[in-house]
Amino acid sequence: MNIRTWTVVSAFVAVVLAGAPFGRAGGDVPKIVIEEALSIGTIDDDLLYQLTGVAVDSDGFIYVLDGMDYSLKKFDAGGLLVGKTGRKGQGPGEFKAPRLLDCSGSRLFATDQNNPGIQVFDRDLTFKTAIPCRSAVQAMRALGPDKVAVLTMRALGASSLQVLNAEGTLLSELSFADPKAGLLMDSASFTALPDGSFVIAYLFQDRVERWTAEGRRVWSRAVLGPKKVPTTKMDSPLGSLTLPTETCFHDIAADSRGRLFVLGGRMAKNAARDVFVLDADGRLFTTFTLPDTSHCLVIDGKDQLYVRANEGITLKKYRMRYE
Amino acid sequence: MTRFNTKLLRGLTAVLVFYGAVLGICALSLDAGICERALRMCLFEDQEIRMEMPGFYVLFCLEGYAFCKRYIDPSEG
Repeated sequence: MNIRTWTVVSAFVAVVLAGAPFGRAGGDVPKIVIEEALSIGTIDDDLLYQLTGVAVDSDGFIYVLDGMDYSLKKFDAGGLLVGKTGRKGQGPGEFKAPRLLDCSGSRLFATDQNNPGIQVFDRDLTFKTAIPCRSAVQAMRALGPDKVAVLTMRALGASSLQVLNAEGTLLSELSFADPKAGLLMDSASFTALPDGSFVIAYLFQDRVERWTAEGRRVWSRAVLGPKKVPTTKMDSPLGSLTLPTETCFHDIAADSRGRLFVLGGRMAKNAARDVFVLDADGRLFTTFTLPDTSHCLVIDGKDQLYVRANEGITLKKYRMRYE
Repeated sequence: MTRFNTKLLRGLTAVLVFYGAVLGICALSLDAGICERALRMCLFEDQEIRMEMPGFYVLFCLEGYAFCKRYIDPSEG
């Protein structure tokens, strides 16, 4: 075989080998199909007015913070309202602007934008205690019945992810944000993984990042593609502010396999409806689209998905099927 | 160029300038979304917030803006 023939054969083999992975990937792209399993709240009933936070316990009970009802509500797995607590105010068990909710073991953790700290309830909705937290909380995950991780917002300096015990004592602090990134650019949501690491999805940046508890960044991924988040300038008593105007990611949750479900924002093709599924190494596994816009995304122990619909009047539960 | 052509050119220019102005106003209105308007009100008009948290109300307003962008604005989109 002469050199020319070798060259042609080698080129042919190279083309076949180079094309093969793409062919496999194209043929085996996984697909997630969602099927509605439950719907709570309609425009005609008074079950929900504006759901903000959602949590699910190990027995399948669903807890919802209602922003316009200043309350914490408990539903059974079939969607029946079985408990309600709270009223407008600043005292124990009261709310002015309820926001975030999470559950671990026998405890529920709730935040309020206008009341500092984290309120702790038992699963019967009895107020138990308040965890002091001086900084504003923009995201929260319960790590255990007496331990919580919060992503704080600070007037000066960058946000950080703090782990607090039931007394509000700082157990550890993860400084993930770039202080030079700009105003609000460190706004984010996060989820905690069983190995103690955290995955952070930025509200105004096309970045999803995994960090160890010790503060080492394991990976950082752009998911939405080469789009720049638009900004606007606004005068303020502190001078001119440059503000991002479009959101990248609204929420993040992990399923039992360690896959990460990231809810896209206004920068996604289908605003606040596209869900990007990443594997534990941050590679894009698949995507799917919710029927309605949502600000939150919760996955329970059975890998069922909970999102909002009808602008917060309805909570939807979906079964996820892999095809 | 004939007088007719000159008039036509001026007319077209006037129409284009007007159209451009309208587009500019529309763009400005779209830019000032519900969250931007709420932030402006929070920063400049809400005296109660300034009384309640002097020194911190700008942070409070910005937190509200981020909340609005995440929770409320998707519905406006």
